[in-house]
Amino acid sequence: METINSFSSEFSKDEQQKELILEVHRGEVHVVIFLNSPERKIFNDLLKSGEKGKIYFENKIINLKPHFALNKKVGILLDETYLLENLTIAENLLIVTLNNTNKNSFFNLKPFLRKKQIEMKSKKMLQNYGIDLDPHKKVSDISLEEKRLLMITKIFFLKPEIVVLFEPTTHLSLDSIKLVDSMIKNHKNMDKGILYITRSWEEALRIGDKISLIINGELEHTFESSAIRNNPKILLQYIVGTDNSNKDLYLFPNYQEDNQFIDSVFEATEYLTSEYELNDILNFLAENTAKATRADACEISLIDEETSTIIDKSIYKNSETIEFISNETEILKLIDEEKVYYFTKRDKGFERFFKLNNDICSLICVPFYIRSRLGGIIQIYYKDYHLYTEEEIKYLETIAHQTALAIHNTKLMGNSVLLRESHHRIKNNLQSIISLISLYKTSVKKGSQKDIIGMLDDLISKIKSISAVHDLLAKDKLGRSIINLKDMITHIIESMINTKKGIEFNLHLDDVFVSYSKASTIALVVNELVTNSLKYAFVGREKGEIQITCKYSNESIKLEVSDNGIGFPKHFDIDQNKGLGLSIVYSIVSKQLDGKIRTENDHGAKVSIEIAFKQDKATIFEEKIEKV
Amino acid sequence: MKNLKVVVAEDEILILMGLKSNLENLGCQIVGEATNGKELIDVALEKKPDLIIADINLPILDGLEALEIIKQKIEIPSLIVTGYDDEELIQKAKEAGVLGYLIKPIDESDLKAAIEISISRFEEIKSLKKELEDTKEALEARKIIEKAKGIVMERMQLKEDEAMKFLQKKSRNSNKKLVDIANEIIEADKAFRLD
Repeated sequence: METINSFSSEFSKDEQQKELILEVHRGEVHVVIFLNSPERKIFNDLLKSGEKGKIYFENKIINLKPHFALNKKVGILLDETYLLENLTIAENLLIVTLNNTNKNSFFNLKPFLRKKQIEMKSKKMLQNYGIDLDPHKKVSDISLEEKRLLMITKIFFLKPEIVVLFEPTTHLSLDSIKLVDSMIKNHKNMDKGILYITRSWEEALRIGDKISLIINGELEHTFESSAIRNNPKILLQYIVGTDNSNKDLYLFPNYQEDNQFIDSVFEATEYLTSEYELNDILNFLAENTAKATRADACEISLIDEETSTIIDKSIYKNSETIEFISNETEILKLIDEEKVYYFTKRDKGFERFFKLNNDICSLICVPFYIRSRLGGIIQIYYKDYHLYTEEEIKYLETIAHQTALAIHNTKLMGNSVLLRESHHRIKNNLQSIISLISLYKTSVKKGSQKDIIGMLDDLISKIKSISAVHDLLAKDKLGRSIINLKDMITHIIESMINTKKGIEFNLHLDDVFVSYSKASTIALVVNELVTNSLKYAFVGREKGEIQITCKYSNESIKLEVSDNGIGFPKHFDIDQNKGLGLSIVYSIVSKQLDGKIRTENDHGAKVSIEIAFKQDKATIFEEKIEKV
Repeated sequence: MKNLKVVVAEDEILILMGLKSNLENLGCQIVGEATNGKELIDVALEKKPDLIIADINLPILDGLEALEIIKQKIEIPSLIVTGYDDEELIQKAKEAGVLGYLIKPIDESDLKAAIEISISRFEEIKSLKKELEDTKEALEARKIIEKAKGIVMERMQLKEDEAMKFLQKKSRNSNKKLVDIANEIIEADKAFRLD
């Protein structure tokens, strides 16, 4: 990080000249905490008028009138908003840009002539920043909060090298604070600098990369905020004693007397190596963590690596009366590279982390990583203004690592179960194929099968129908072993459509979900019946139609394959059939699927199959368990 | 392998049909089939085949559980055909007295070799068991004869070899086994001893 912008001011108080130099680096937010109000006021006045001091930017004095304070180099937000009350929001926004390109004529009238264009442009601009304001509205008609927000947007829009924000959260609601926070973050990511003046150290900790403390007009100390996050005591020792509002507010817990952290970590490790379910482990960790850190509540949230959303969480409250519901999406937005995040109610942005909060005053978040990707967050909550210690953070980090390990283990276990299962499926499928070939071989030996090419085609299409089920399984992102018969049958038919010209397929399929093993046998049946129709129904005909119906009703699957061809031969009985294909179908339906099969001639051949089956998740699940 | 009576258990009909076809080609006689573990027990106990070929992954009761139950009633050699090859299952199969463990996919020649090996292994085990039984029996008889000899020596005031000759003579004359004569003497001796 190179120092590009240095922002210095001659800061005067009681006639005595003091120089205050605040350095702002590119790509960082430097937060300055003024502990007492009079000094803050002087600094504000200084920025506003330059009467009591001078501001240097890149070694040049800048002494700008407020509205000129907006340009490509420096953007300054003060406690007043400089907007033209009688103009619309759109005009106010766009004046800025024009003013910038043509500094000599501030009241350039050109923009007012291109009203529509301006409105369009400003509308888009507001949308980009996520601000819900109507650009037609006159500034005099909007609220103070909206004016502040408009002003801030105006400043950031110009993308100045350095932005100075003087207590930007004043008059802002929670939603607006969120918007401002994201603008600051964006600006920082564009490798520009931000100087942020506030009175709350909690706010500084939330937003700042560097934190400076001004006491009695002098720069007392500048901290890296990560250092303070790890051990807030080092900042607090300056503040307590200077600022009365901080006195007695924070409790400094003393852990030196007991080994509770070590005990707790030991216990957690023991728990991890035992064969508990992941959820039990997380519940245990949450409770243990809350107890060890004397927190009022602890929450462990798991995050899906792919979508960055919360997928599961365990919560422990030491009393049922604590009322709060955290808002993880907001907490998630924060997570950067820090190890610890700390917030208290004194920070105006605090409430955003809750959907409901009646009791909580302090919140500490520790993210954890699984294979360098965010895996989750441990949050601990306190009813009072709890200031954490170095020991607590070390402890939380350890627990975070352990949680990550527990989750990783579970995932590995899940993977190995899946691997084992698919291994087994592959082998079973290969066995099915060998069985098919053996059956053909036998029928060739017996002389009942003479058409070798046709036989090989049959084999290929049967193997394809087995693989159709696999394709569908592989596509299921959730890794379920459940197949939709509709998809499967469509898939099988698609691969057969071109085998014979002039044949039209009509599919009437319901969504029917069955287990993997059922699906693969049904696939064979469908394949066999359709192959039969293609082979025998349309001998000597140019055109034909095959209809496949699969419906679910009255707790049974009804599968029908019919054609408008020449029909079954007289006295045909599937039970007595000697053909290999149909005998496989008959065996599968009657023995494996416990179903009924019926053949009839109805303007062609028609095969109806009925399989008793309860379609509910429990059945499918049970069947799956049975299989494993 | 000719006319070997076999029961096959496999829940996937296509695989079952294939296995049956393979076995028939090898000259086996399929005396029963099952698609779940319960059926396997029923069929095996009813048909008393020379060999059981079963998948592990069967509904209701798995193949190994079914074989374990069958083993408690009758001794039938068994072969496992499965897609799982983990150590744990192989160990379980050993415990269930399985003689062969085939991992899918398999063909006719795999089946042939496995059947031959398991049948001969079974015969071997059977004859070893018989030998063991015989030895045990002989040892037991020896103990009884020794005891009877002691009684004869005491009651008839004979020397050891004379007592033995006496027992052998009795056995020859009555056309009974030496051990039976010995038993009779022990019983008779008991009847005379009042205490």
